[in-house]
Amino acid sequence: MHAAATHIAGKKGRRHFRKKMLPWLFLAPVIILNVLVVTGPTIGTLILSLTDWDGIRPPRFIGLANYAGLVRDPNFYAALINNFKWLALFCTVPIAFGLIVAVVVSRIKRGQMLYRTVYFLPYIVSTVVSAEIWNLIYNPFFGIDTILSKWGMAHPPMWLGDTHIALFSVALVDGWRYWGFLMVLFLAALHQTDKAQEEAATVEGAGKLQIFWHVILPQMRPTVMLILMLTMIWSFAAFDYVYVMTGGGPGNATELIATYMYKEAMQSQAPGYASTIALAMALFSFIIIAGFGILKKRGWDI
Amino acid sequence: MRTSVFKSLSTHAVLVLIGLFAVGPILLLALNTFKPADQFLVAPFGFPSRLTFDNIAGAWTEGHYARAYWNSLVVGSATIAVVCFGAGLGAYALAKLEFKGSNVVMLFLLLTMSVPMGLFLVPLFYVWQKLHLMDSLIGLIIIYSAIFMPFNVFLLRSFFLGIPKEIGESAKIDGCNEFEILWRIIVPLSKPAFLTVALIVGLWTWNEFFFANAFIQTDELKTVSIKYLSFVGNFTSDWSKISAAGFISIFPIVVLYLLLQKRFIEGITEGSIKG
Repeated sequence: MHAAATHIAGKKGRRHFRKKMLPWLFLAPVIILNVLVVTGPTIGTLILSLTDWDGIRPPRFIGLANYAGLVRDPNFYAALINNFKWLALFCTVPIAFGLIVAVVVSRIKRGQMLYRTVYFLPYIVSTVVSAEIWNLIYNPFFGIDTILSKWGMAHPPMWLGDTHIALFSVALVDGWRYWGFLMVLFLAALHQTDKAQEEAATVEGAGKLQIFWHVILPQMRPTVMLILMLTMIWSFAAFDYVYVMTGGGPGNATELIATYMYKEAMQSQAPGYASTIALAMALFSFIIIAGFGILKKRGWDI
Repeated sequence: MRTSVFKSLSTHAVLVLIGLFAVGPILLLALNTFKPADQFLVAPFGFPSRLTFDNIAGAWTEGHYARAYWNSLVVGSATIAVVCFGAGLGAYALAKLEFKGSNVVMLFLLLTMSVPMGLFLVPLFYVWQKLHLMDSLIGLIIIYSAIFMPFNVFLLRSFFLGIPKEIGESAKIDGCNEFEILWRIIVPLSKPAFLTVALIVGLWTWNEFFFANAFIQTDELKTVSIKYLSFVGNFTSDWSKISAAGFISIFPIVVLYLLLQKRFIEGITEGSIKG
């Protein structure tokens, strides 16, 4: 009798235990892969940033020397300033352009889907290929400059060779790819706005611009905030187009934190220092996420 | 009446111009792919007077693109399989199984999604050397699966949440366990969501070059995107061939996109909104 009771209790306990473990069993593939590839190595980066590892000899603990070096590294500041320029550009031009085009497209009766398909196309084309297409467009001998000089421009711009404009030339390519993505996000949000409010405002005699500013835009605030956050995070991690098109040059005119970090890790054989740069980069994105998290909690939407 | 027609026409004119800005560079690539090489030299922006397949054929054989296509297909389909499996299970746990810590797991996945790729590159490099996964497609598949999984967990989770609870509960009364409910009921109902996952992961793996470039060195193992990088390096100023290689690299994706554009666009944008 007694034995049977404990037996049942044991069975119940085991079942309870199994029920408790089940979700973790389901989550195991995600978590194991994540720890192996992302989380584990990220912790490794934290540790490496405290060493002078050159990738060959065993790492030596040097405390915060890498961090002290980073705050005195002029190359890092050059890259950081470029990242801020990148951020300022991307938080304004593609967002404004994408929003305006989305508003125009949302008003037309026919062909909305066709325009959407066309504008989104650059987003799905592989970076390496679109970067090379634009390398040709910017090429001084075969590119757009041949047309400009035919039109009578004596000194057409050296799009990627001039240190003053190279960063903007590359940013234009990334923007060319990016704005269509934003336009699609805005268009989806516009379709969910309350049409009755708009009509009420029209009846009360509000102009189109007023309606957009006071009726439509406030309803889209969550989307706008989300896009701002994504754009800011991506601006600090930007890498692809600079890496393929200019490699950071000429000089360090187009160097970004991510390309500088990649160089230090892969070419300069300073993975310890590269880890410090990577952490600085991550710090910026966490500040952004935390900032938006606070904004959200305060009820400023998202 | 006439002014409204004029207005709508001018709106479309502006939108078409913007469309040319978007697709112009891609059209330029196609033009230079089918334009004879000698004609490119005199008119890089002109229309071809006759069409040639020499550039495509040359780039295909000299770049060993058959091999690169195969590698990308292997990496893509294996990553799709692993992600569907892992993200499906994980999404089911987060959508249908109530347990302590589910919020922590979601926060954890969200954070790892927004981590810049450079943050874990260096140690991963040395872990992969120790595990002998460097310069191997399996190593690349594992990296891709790990990186692309969190996004798709959220995508599938939001789809699973839309499936009524009663369906699972009645199956439980009939004696199904959670695995059976997922496999026999949820998965068949979620076919469109899994198709979206497959498309997005396929697109990403086809285009990805950061990790492929860092982890694959052998020419025979290169995927399409990094094959293109080395092709450009080898044929520095032969723009006709470079254009043709670019055309080869993007052709399958563009065709797939044009066929299934609705699912592509909605999958990518919905995922990034919910994630």
